[in-house]
Amino acid sequence: MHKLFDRCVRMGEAVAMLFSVLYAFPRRREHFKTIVQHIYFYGNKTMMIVIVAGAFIGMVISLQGYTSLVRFGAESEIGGLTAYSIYRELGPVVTSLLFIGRVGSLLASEMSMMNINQQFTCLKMLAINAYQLVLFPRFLAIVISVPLLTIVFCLSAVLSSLMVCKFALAVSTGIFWNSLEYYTLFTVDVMHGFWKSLAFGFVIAWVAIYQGMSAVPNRSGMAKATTSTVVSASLLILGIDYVITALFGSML
Amino acid sequence: MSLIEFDRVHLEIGGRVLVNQFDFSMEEGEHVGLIGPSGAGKTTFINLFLGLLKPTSGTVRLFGKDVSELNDHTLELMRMEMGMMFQTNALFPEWTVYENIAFPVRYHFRVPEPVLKQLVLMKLDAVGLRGAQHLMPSELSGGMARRVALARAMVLDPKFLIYDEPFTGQDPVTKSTLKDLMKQVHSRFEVSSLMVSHDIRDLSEVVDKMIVIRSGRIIASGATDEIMNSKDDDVRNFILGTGKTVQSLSKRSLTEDILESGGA
Repeated sequence: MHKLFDRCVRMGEAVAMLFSVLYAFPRRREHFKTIVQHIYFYGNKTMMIVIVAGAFIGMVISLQGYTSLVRFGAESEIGGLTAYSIYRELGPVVTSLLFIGRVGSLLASEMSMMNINQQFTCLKMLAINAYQLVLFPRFLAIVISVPLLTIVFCLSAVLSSLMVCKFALAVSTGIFWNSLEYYTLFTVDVMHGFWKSLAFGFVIAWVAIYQGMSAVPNRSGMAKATTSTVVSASLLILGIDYVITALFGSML
Repeated sequence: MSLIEFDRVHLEIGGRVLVNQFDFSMEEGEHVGLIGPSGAGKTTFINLFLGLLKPTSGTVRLFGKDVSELNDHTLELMRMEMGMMFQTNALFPEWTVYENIAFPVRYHFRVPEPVLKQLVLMKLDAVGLRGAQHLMPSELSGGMARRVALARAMVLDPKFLIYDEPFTGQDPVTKSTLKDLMKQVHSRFEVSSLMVSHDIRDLSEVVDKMIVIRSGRIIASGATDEIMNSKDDDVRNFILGTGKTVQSLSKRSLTEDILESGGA
């Protein structure tokens, strides 16, 4: 009972913190510059992993998908199959999981370290709103970065899939693109993935900032915050992915 | 006018008494040292007058105003009148020394960049770090980082400086430099100061008034010379840096001490 109460309190704290972050919308041009810097920083940090992961996942899907489709004589549909699964599911989910490992954990440890180093107290002493100066730029940068990286992931996966189809499976480029265009629509499938990635970015930023800010200000607290961020954010993303697919799968 | 005033302040959290009937006042122009062992309530004391904690009973006044009656905005404005140097320095590692000092001004005021630059260089000059503006915090020695922290604490031209354990982890030469620097800063910028430390010897060279606290209670207060020459057991304990009081050591035999501690 006590644990349940404790969890409810933590949930309440997390929601209150989220509102404080969203309320701290920057009012000065310099603060927007910080957001751009963070988008660059986070995007740059994760870009290479996303491209490589996307390429391998695209190649594996093509090989696996082709083996199954050949049995039904539908190997010409390989482009559609690959693109559909990448745009709607694998793109946003895998990008988010990679992002959590690379940036989510980094952000949680950064917040925790700032607590240990008394930087938040220092900002309070200087009458500076830490939410405005530190948290909001990072929060927004993550919300923007995840969809952008998802696009990069999808591009990498589809192009690598095309390469495998062309050079290893002898499927012509025309057939691949034709199937891709027939089975996937930008306004439906690509946007489905986009909205998902936006929601995932929001969740990653929220979890990482909350875990980092609420960590006990010592080294073990920092380690715990980092681990909790990776575990909680990953599970939340998989859960939310199911909910979005179940609720809006047919609509979006 | 009193800068800080504690009037029978009592603070209890979770049944634990953190501050016990605290009476204290600090006037403008004074340099006060707050001394006590770890866990004595030094940080709690700071948090009380900064309005980060509310007392269970009693009144805390800052610049003559009751802190518990002030709203967040007024408290923020009051905090701008104070500068604080932290034990950890609290520098932002991703920013240069220049940015670390300039950002409070940039946040609060619209100052043209050349003016801001002059201001930052002036503060750096005041702490003896001319030419260090392009360095990153990771490139600074412990003493230099302290001085940058001091320059930042002074950047909004505060009336009052707070030092949290300024000498912890510093070598004797750096300590001596810091002490000289602090004295210079105090006289040049006419600021009052409150220094929190657990080392009475270092503190005695910079402050002119001392308060000794233990378990959230003031056990001695007065001019630095008075405290340093005090005959009080607990105060002498701090000065000598011993775990036992002078009186108890002189009255008890070594055998009694060993028997009490369960040894031999």
